[in-house]
Amino acid sequence: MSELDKKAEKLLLALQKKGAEDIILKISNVEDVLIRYANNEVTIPVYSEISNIDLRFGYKNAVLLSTINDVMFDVEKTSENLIKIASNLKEQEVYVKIPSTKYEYPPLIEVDEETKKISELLPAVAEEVINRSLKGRIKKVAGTLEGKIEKIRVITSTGYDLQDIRTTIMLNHRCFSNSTSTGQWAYCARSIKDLDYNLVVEKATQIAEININQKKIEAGNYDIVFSPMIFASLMEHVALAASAYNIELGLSFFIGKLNSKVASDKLTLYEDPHDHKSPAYSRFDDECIPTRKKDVIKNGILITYLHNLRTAKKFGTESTGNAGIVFPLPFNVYIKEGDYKEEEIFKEIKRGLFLVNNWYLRFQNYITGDFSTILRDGIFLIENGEIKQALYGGRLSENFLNLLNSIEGLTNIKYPIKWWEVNIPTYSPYALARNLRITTAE
Amino acid sequence: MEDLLRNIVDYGLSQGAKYVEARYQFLTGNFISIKNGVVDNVGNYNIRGVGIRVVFQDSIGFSATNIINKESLINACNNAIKIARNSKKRNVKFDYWRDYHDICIVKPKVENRDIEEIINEFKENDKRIVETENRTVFRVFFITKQEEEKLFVNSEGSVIQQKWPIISLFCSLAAVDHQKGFVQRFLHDGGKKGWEIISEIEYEEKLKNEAKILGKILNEAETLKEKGEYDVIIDGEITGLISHEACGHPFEADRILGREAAQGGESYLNLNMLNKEKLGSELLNIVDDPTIEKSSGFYVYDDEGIPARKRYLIKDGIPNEVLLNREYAGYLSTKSNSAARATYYYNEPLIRMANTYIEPKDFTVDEMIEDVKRGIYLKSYMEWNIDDRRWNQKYTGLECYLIENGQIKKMLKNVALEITTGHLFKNIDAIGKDLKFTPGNCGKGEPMQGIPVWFGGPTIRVRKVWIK
Repeated sequence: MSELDKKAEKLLLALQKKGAEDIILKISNVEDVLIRYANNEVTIPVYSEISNIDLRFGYKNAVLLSTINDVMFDVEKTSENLIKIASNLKEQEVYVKIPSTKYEYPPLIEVDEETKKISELLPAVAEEVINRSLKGRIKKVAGTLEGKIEKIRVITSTGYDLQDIRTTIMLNHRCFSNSTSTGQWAYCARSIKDLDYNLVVEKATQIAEININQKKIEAGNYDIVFSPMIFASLMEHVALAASAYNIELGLSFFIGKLNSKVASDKLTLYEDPHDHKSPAYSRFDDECIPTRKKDVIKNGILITYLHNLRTAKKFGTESTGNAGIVFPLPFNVYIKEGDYKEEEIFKEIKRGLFLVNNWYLRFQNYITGDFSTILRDGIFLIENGEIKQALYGGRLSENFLNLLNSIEGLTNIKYPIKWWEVNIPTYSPYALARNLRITTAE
Repeated sequence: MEDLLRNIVDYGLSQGAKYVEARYQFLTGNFISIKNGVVDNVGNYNIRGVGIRVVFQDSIGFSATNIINKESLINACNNAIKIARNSKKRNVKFDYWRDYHDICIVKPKVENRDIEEIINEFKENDKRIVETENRTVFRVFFITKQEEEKLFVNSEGSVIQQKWPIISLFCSLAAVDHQKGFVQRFLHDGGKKGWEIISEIEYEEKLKNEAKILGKILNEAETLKEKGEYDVIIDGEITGLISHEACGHPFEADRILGREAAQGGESYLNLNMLNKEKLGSELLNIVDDPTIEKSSGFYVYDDEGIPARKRYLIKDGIPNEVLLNREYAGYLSTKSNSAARATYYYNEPLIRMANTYIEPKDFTVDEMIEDVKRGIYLKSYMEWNIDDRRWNQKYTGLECYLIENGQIKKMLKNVALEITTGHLFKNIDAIGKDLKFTPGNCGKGEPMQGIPVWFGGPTIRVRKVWIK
């Protein structure tokens, strides 16, 4: 047991002694190795070991949150200060007790031997990714390769003492065949053994190779094949819109839509925190509720919002096991595959677009779901099922509910995506959607 | 602490490092969120640790820890050296400076306020919003007050201490009318100052005014019937964002030279354009200035220990200088202009903007409107985005008006300004004297480092813009 664990236990007792209830302490120890590269060389390797305590407790039915990164903290002074702040608060609108139920949890998965060696192995992997990409038209590459081992312990005043290990290996790789001709792909896994960097190199280089001689895109409505990169970004926003917290805040296009048809019947979006290969493999949420696999959208119907104990009580339902210390969030996002093979889905388009990647997705209005996002790393005109021309300068300017209802098909293989624009590990196939609006600067 | 950092810098040198810097940060914060007049979350946090960066055999290594004792710092320093040694060698040329010894402290006018008093004040603000416009059904305040202390020690002999408060007031409002639709507004105020901000910006009045505008948009705003070419008058809220997104980011040397290519992207600017190529109207000057006291982007020394100075990015429409840190100044055989900042001790310092703004001139808004035959006046925005070379951008107006024959005629909704940087900058023919600043949290790097900045600008007029 580390010094920080011992201090956390003392803090729990000190708070209890001063009248705090429903105390949750989450202790995280994170080892992180990050290799950044650009212009075909490593620009900086970063190594950090950081510990943290996230804390939540009730005091006379008011709730206080705290994050302690200063591991040299004084237990007695900290507990006094926290109780002093809490004693000035009024009771929360909806107060929930932390349960003491003895649940069955999925097994703890230890870090495998190779992943333990991230600081030794990742620099060589980065060099290999760079070297393998520099062929054909590819003149330049940039990216990040990161390995993270997070050891978590949650203790509560109701007797829970749970441990979990969450590991993330992720690669984001961008290739340039000239300054504006780019291709990008990303990947995430729980173990370094499962990092398919050859696939990432192949996808990013293939796109950059053909993304040349670009012409300006014409604004208008198009049938579209989305690559897993952009579809993952869009679907992450869909999953976040299902958080009951965003429903409460008016930051969701799913307000009032529970059990309604929100998407084409081709779309099933689910969460699976029990996937052993996912960086999001989690035994329990931050309120010690066991995690579970669940459909969020099934065949186009919105099945559930994502809840913690408080939002569940407010909405008259049960926690879905999605609690963070503050609000409920998905651990990961999966899009159920369809029947199309990748080469087949393009054949469904007479005249349309293949979109590879996006960034800067911004809402004009969260409640209506109006948004736009910049297209990058490959916009291609498709004619009679074939990629005919690389384009530039496009923006998908749409409405989320319209987009969800326009989905007509999905391919039969999912890709694990996580990068700057996709924070939550998202498993997405290619997707076909009809009649979506593209705009451009005149 | 100073001795501990000095010792670790000396230790790094003894292990063969060419340059060592140790950055200590202690950040404490309190936050309150209030949702529809009810307290939602209250909490506090502290962040405390040391980041160590080394130049070792012409490669850079960085390591961080939050266990602050001699043994742990030696371990972190060894990790920085080890990881630099394991990387393929680079030919890093740092820009080296003299030593600085300084203590810089920003004292707020109003430092401490009782938490209950703040909660009650914001609950009252919530009531005023509803009284002003009862269709404002979603109202969220997120209030944060931080204290940040930094200590910088490096192998040039510098020892620099900086300390300041940081305040941030965020408000999200959404008005709903079942016949007329939805309208949403996000407001952000803040700076390196204390609670005096609330009276300085007349916050209650500001909120009431915003609620009134939301009601007006629901009642009066019409869709623009005729798409086409218009003269556009753009308020400082949007021109500030433009100065940051379409000038500040593309003028970061690391972006221009490809270091951020995988995430943030590159730039339309290349270094050959400096002091040569015309990028905008000769009226256009864009500045990035960390020396504006009490601003969100204020600092006296950057996170590489270099004294802050004002930078003219665009002067008379021509690119003038780019933002630099030690690494890129060394690469370009020049001196850093003190633009390196890191959000937390465990982040590497990157080239960052501070307070970026279009310099004001002498027009009033009325004078600009008078001289427009057919135009649009964009006063605020809902949505924006820009491509990864910072050329193709979009701003969707929230409060906007149609101008005909020199007069405001009616309110419009969902007007989208989708334009290139070149067209926007070159067609500016009037710049107002009404400079205003809005705080923002600028994102860059991997892992993403959000950093406080101000966006600034006066009202400007741009001729011949395609509006849809």
